[in-house]
Amino acid sequence: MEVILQKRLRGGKETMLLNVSLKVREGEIIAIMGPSGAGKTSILKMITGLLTPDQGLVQVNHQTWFNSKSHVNLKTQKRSIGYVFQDYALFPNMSVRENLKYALPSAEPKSSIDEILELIDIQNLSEQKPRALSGGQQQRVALARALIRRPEVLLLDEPFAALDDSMRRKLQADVLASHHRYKTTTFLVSHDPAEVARLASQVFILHDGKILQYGTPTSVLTQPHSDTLLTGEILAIHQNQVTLVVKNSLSIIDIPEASSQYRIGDSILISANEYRIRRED
Amino acid sequence: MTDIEWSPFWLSFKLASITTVSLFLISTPLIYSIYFHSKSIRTVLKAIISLPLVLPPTVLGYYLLLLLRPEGWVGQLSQQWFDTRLVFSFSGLVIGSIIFSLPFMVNPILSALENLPDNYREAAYTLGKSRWNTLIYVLLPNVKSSLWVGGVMTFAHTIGEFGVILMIGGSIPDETRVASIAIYNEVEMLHYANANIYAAILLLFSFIVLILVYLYQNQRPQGVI
Repeated sequence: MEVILQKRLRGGKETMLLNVSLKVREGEIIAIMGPSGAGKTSILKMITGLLTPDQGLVQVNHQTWFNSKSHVNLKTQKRSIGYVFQDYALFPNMSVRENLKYALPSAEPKSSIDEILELIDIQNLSEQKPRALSGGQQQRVALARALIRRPEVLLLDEPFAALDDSMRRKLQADVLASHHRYKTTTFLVSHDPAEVARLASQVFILHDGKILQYGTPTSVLTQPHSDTLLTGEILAIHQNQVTLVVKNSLSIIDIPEASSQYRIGDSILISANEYRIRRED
Repeated sequence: MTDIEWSPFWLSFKLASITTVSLFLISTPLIYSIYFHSKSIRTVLKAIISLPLVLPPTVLGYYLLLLLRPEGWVGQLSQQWFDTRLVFSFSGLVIGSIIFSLPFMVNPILSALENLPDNYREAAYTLGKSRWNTLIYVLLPNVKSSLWVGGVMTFAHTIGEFGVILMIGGSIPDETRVASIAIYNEVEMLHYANANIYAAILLLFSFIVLILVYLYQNQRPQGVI
């Protein structure tokens, strides 16, 4: 599978040029890591066709989904994809079974619903409405709904971000079990190095729309890019002072105009390069 | 108190029912074409549909009269194809009411759809579903309360219509003399006792409708008006 994407992305007043080129083997789990606003979700949305690249190519199993040169742009509906949204996006008007039934192509046998309910171990929830389920349960249903179409490409957009550790482990096991079964090429956006190490065979580190590093999780995660000083999640912002949670400890750093650029809960990556630029400001 | 004519209420009820059902049917494709358009086109279409909210009913009535009269474009077509006269007839009132009440049906549904997370639409697309399929099976069922509110408001608004009806329908008994027109007639003839009864019934009706709408909204906090 080959993905070449170029797009100028607008976030508020600033624009960023996303420019990535990924070549991945079919049937692998590929992780995309990087700070918020680096373009991770945009990459997934361009693979699905929900967002159109300015230029590029998306080729899956010798089938062209997008090619700016030959003006090919397959509709989202025509691409064989499963997408798991960060906030699940289950349809509230349908029960778990109805969500799966709606997703099931008409040619597929109805028994596929029970098969997937069993695989993800959610048979007991089948008649419940999504509103009655916990976050973890909803995410399992969302995974089942994405898989029931047997897509060629599965896209997981920070699927476990809102879950506690034990539920995260369970879901990671679900992803591995389903991957073992269907061998679907999977893109996983994640902030969690342990998760990436556990699930992925390739990892791309994205920063400002460019790929900073790529390789196996062991090689990339044990040898961080020389520019990277630290990555962490923002706990508090007070004027220019940002409190970051970095590996269970707190760091306080100065970032000019921090309060207008970042929000509590954002994950950011601080690189030596970036630090120098900010000091020159 | 003189004898009370009940046919104006029956006419109002018939007109409101036909208008509400017709608008349910017309609104769905209309909402489809507005909702899935780009934002700029959507703005223009929404402004056109909302015109009856701000136009004086007499202005709308005047333009409708020009269109529906036998020399008018629509009036001529109706005469040729269905051999029906539209001005000063019940059929004309239905056409006028549909146009006049259009924003009351379309706007609540449209604003509820716009408040739904984009993810629902996008998720349906990734499951291979067309826009129509997404609208009918995913989006509209999740804004049920706005469908209810749109229907009730359309019905109530049609019952209370006056200016447009007077312009295109006049006051023909059993044909175009609806309840609001009947009140006007009774006052003109200084039959205040009758006018009182007609007005009190309409007041009570409008009040009950609003109570019903707000009761429904209290149960479902995502209400739209």
